[in-house]
Amino acid sequence: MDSLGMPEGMAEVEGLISKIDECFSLGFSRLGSEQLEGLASVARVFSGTPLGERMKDAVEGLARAEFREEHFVSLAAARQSLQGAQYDALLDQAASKGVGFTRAAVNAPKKAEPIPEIATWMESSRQWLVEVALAGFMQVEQETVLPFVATLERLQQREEAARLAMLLSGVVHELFDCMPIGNMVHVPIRRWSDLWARAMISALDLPAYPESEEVSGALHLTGVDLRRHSHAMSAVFYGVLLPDDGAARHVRLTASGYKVDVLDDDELWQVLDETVFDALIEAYTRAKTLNIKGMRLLGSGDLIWDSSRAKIAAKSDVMSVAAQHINAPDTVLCDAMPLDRHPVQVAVPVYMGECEVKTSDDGALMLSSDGFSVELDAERGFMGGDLTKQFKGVDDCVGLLRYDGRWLFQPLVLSSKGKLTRQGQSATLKIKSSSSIGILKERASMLLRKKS
Amino acid sequence: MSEEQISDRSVQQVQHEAMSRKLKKVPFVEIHGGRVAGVVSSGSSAERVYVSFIDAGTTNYYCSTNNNRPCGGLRGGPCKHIKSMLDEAVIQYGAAKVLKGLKIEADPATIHRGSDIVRHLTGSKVKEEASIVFSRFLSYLRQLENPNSVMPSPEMTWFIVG
Repeated sequence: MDSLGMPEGMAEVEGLISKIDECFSLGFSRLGSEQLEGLASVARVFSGTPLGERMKDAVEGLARAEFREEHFVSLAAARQSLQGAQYDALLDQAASKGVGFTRAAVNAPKKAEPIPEIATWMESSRQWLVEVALAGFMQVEQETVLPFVATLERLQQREEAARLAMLLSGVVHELFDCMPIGNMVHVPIRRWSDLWARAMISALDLPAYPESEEVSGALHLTGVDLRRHSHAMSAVFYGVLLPDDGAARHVRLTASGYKVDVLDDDELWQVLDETVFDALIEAYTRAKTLNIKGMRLLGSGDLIWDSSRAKIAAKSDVMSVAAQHINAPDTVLCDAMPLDRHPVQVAVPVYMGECEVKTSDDGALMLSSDGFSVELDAERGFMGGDLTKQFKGVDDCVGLLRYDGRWLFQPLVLSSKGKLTRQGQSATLKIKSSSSIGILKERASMLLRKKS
Repeated sequence: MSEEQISDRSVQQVQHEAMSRKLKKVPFVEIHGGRVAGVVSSGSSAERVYVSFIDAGTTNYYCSTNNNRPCGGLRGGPCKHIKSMLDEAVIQYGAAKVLKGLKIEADPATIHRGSDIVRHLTGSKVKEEASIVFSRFLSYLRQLENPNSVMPSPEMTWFIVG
């Protein structure tokens, strides 16, 4: 058993989400009385809340086969608000069980100004999502997805739409990859409903960001969470900022780019623009402190990388900074933005000193330190292969406390006799002519020249 | 951990991870739109590339240069470019996916390289326009030209493989 336990009410909320997800699996065009009653019970939970009327309309409308986009938006919002409540409960649970941090709330930002031509592609995206919902994930076929690819390619070319485009690229490629879906041994309905709901919300308005402040101080990068699908990568650098004044804070820096599927773990870093990210990668791979001056920090704890505001400084003693600050009770950890709150966004940095790994009775790998115990996330281990072996000889480590049906620990950095193991340790942004990206670009230029 | 628990997770490795491979000989290969198609570098000229493909079901095939000249190696059977393309397709996607993409009934365990698939091809040379493959290759490469971002991207948290 992990030491954290489940927040109260978690199972009830799970039950409601499952009722919505069952409809996504089956398809909204073929709901039976059982599914409609399930949706109605979800709507009743929202009565008296700001979503109450909309949910009532949506469920009644769907029962009359009125497949309006607004009903599907209401469902996405309801699902998201249930998961937002879970997110809150999980962070409170972690804090109440003694994981040290000070939660900082963040307000909903003002809506972003629409950009007319992108708004049209976002509308097309919502229409496609409605079609997927009507068909149901179990029935999605090539013909359901192919017509959307042209819209997706337009979205990908606009930086303002990068978040939605990267999400939809991942969804589209995953669906293609899993076809025929009827033949899958396990259809990941929870995951796909999550992605659908997130995409629907992200396709309503361009992303808006909370208020920011300019911060200065010493930034110690602890580790990287490398998220990726076949056509995009997004590295999140986790770090501790020791500001010139005030308490230490947990911060994140994001660097994302589109990629192609044949790149290996080292090469995928090369999709990042060297002129923009060079100092960040150098500081990380060489374990140097970054002195930052006036860099923008969003209320969500996201530092917005700007190389002109960062200077590589002295060696960073990553593990001793971690031991001292990561779980100090006054180190500030910002909440996710209101629209982003979801159990998968729980990512509480944890330092585990003198840690050890043991296999529990039910076969899970448990990481323990000082009486605190949590299951290692086998899906997210960054080094592949046998986690027990990787933790052999590890003295202390830093990772993220995650939640996905149960509490999990995602390792970010392992330290063994002072030697660090972390993802992207040997990352380099330089594109050699012998590297995959170099070859692809050279071959493409040959084609273009000959064709003209 | 039971499989039931995994299938319930929000964040899990669903996508097939394309295996990385050397690209010098075959810069591009895909299973798409009812065919396996690829772009293959010429063995003799750095300037020349071939586009090869095999249709699913009929297993008809063709190979031509970027100037739309038919490949000289097609007499009497699939050329070496088609074999190379299949070699790399097996590395990148795995034998099972390639067989499925071509609608060939064979045991994936017996397929180790391109020539093992060539043995199952029953179709013949059928001339077809190659430009669609070139344009798919170019739009694949265009991914690398799309802009980077420094803004938070919480949506990517769901994706951990690829």
